[in-house]
Amino acid sequence: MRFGVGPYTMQLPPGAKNTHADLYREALDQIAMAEDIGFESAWLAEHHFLADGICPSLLVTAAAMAARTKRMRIVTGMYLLPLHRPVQSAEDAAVVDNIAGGRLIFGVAAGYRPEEFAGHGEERSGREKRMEEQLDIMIQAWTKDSFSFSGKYYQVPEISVNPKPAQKPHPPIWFGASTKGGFRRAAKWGSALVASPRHHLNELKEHYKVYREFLREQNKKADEVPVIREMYCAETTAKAEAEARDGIMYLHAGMYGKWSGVRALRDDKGELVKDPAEVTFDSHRERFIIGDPDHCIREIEKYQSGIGMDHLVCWVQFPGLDPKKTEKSLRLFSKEVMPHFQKK
Amino acid sequence: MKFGIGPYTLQLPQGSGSTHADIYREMLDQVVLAEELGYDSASLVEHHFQADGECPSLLPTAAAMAARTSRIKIATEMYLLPLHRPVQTAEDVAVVDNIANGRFIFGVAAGYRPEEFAGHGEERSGREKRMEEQLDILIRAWTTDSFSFSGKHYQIPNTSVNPKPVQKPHPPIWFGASTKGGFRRAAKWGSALVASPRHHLNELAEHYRVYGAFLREYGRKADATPVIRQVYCAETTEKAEAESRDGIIYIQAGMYGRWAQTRPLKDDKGELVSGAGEVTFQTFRERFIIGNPEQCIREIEKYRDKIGMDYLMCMMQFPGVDSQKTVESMRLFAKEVMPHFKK
Repeated sequence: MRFGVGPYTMQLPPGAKNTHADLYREALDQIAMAEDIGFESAWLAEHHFLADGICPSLLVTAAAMAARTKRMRIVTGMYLLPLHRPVQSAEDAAVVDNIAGGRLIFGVAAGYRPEEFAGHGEERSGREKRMEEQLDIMIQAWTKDSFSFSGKYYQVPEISVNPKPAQKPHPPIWFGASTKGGFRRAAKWGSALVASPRHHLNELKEHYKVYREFLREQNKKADEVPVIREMYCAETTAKAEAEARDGIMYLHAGMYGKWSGVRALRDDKGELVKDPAEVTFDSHRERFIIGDPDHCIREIEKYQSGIGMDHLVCWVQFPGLDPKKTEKSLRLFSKEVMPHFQKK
Repeated sequence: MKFGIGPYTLQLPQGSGSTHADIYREMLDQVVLAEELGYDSASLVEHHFQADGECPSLLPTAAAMAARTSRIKIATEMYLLPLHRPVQTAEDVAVVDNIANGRFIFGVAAGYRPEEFAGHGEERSGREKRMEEQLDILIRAWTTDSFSFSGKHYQIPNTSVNPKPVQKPHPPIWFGASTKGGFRRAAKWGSALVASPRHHLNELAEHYRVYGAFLREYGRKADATPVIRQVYCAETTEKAEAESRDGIIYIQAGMYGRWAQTRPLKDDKGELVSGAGEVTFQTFRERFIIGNPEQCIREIEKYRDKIGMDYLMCMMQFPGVDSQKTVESMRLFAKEVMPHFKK
């Protein structure tokens, strides 16, 4: 079992006294510390145009994370491919992979928020098809001396993209997806499917069942089963809940709940959320790995046995939470929880 | 007088034994050292689709430089604005400025190589006009809660770009330009004009004369007179020349010479060259600040006295030159040359 930290979102809640520069500095320090205590990956998430300044620049920030670490893999989780242009994406990801000395995992997703497409001047409809053309372009850019491309959405004249990524043939491409079409695409590309923190384990079981059928159908194998969960570890479960609750609700109600009209969200009972006000800590509690070390261990085991999770990505930067608290939680988790899964 | 290291190009000459990952690591280590040695900034240059892998990704690389340093400025010299889309550029620059905690200088230029525009699916013609619309969009994105834009080239619906840059109202915008239109734009935006290493001091004197007249016309003042030069310092001028010559010609002939048909290049006598074959170390020698410390000091004084240079951007890592040699040159320059101008 591997453990990672992230995805970092770099959100500054309204009224916060600190600055975004503080958040970036604290996150970079925290990632370097996490590497020292055994975390093997650091992740970032992308969104745009939000008042709390959620990180819109993944490859920029990934480069900074790579520059501050030596061993851990740096993962975009997820880079919203159809918002970008494929040639620059290929160049930027290749440079980040060089800065990282071959430690980049290029996680991608289709994106969904209409404002983000409009603000970047891209069509939202057809984004999945564009994404596939983009991946085709990027892989040619990374693996061929030169190439040209003529697709339905993109035309690229003969060019030679350099430098090439440090990893050969190219950095692993992982997918974030929550729909049947997305699972099929992930399987078709032989990509690891990254489980989103939006989904309950029961939903994930169904996702992986469908995805694994597609993998068999395509005769592909994925290299890992990474799951993103909010994680907070303290001496007692009551303390963990008290400290993490507000930050987690900021994410679950303030983002996933608020956006549930664009992208469906279910509560722990499997019911569709119809009104963002219905999203409470208790109605979504089961998907948070929050508690004392024993509780965290039991929760992680459920994902191991339920879907074969072998890489837990611990979302630890909750908006508004003091990073000193997060560090304590990470250190306790590293000391009391991680060894349990690294015995075998 | 301020001194910067760079712009770095991160080129790997063909047949070299090392890798791009090596070059990026060595560059980051050099930048950390430069900060310790008293340099004021580190910078990067952008080009695309070169076989030697010249850096096509300035803002990610700038973020890595910012993450490894705490005091020096990080600058793009130059980010080729019309190759990019303005909203993502605004977001990326703002994030770099946050990672750098307000130490970013945003140097921009229009770009010129047709392949770079074609490869990115952008028109080459009209790039200067697009650049001005882009700057307008960037500044609105950085300084207003939300904005919309309807221009000739860009339409943007109501959008709120966040986070904002650390620097208020926004990071300094510097211009790279070599034409009258470029000088006018730099002056109009009140931007420092960054002198390119392609030009002899005699050309630069003329550039700054025209640019100075435009500044007066627009009633603007620029905050610096930065000049990029290839710099290499050794105990003797012979040694400096021997060690840096091939790497410098790689850039001067292999890039500026080869691209002379797209962008005119003049030798030390002021004669136009037609291609790489006419570019030799001797015919371009005067624009390189290469030699022993005394020679470097005398050369720097010429720029200071003739065009009022107050910021020397020292391009010190030449393609194919061992990083260790560059480090020796950086150290000697910091020890023997820089103090002369800090008095």
